[in-house]
Amino acid sequence: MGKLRRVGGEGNDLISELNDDVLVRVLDSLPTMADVARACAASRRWRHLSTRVPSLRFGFTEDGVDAKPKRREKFYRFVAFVNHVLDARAASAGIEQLAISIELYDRGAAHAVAAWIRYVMRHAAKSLALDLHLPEDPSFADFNTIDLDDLSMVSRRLETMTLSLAYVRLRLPAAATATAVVFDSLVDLSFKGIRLVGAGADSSRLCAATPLEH
Amino acid sequence: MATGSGAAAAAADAEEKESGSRMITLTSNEGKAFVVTEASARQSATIRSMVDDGGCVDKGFPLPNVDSKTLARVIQYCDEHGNKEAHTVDERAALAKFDKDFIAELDADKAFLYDVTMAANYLHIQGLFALTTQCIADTIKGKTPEEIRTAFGIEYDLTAQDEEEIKEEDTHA
Repeated sequence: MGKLRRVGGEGNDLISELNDDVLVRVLDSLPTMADVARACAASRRWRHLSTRVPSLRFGFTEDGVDAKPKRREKFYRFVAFVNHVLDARAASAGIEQLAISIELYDRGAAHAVAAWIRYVMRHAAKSLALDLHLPEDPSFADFNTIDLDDLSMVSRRLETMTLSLAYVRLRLPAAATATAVVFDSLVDLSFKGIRLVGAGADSSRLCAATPLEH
Repeated sequence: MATGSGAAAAAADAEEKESGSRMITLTSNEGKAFVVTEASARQSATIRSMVDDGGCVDKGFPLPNVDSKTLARVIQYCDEHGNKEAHTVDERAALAKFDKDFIAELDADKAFLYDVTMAANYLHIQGLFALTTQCIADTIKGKTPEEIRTAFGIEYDLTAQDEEEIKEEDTHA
């Protein structure tokens, strides 16, 4: 037996002999935070590791749920789960990545998403990836607008931002406060399917504000 | 290996270093010596930085935390990734196939898988560490806490307060 493993493990519990750094990396390799939450409910040791996982990945799909009220309930529970995890992590440093993927055929996601973007700005994550597919219905336009015009979009740590937004409107800070969009550290920025709304909204304004490496 | 004093020998030495054909000795905690190419040893960031800092390459590197069985397996991975090219599609496919077979064999012996994982962490062998931790994660994926405890033989030690908190989290998930 290698000396690297912790001694004193009982029975067949070999995995708990691995050190914390290794177990955190294992948790970080799980596909979503739902898996992390289940793993961290296994024992006290694992519970203590949950707040050290650097990548927070969440995924939502309506697949497998037929009734509309149930779909909505499932989505609200998903939003509550994301918010619960983000709250629990708000005090701890070391969030490297926030990735949220949502496929939704009902309205009502934009508000939650705006709050998550604000969270990333506040808590200095290195990477943000949002993949949203919202319903293609003009009457949902207001519900599908992510309102960030009161947000001071400043991050000195964000390096990668990928926004893949289908049928989503993104309202950024008004031209008068354009300097409020500052990403000093951003090296990779990608947009897919985004429509910018409001006076003077064009992508060059966004890109001009960022020192991207080409 | 050879430390010549003449200019020609020095040039040959530099060339050897360049091509990664210099040999390096790694010694397990049982005192068993393994001679590997520098290209293979450089898969380990720990050894790489010791070599680049002008460490005592000739004396070799004792690894007091790694036993012979584990080291032999780790070297098998490093040889494959350090000594072989990965430029063409075919070469990369061959490496991917090696990784797949390598991890499947390890996965069948959990205690050994954890030993190799710990050694990969200690020696900072990025690719091997990613491979083994992903393998462990794949066993956890999709399981309930109870199924995870069963799969890994983890003892139930949660307090009433833990249970309460987990129940609270569960209403959200």
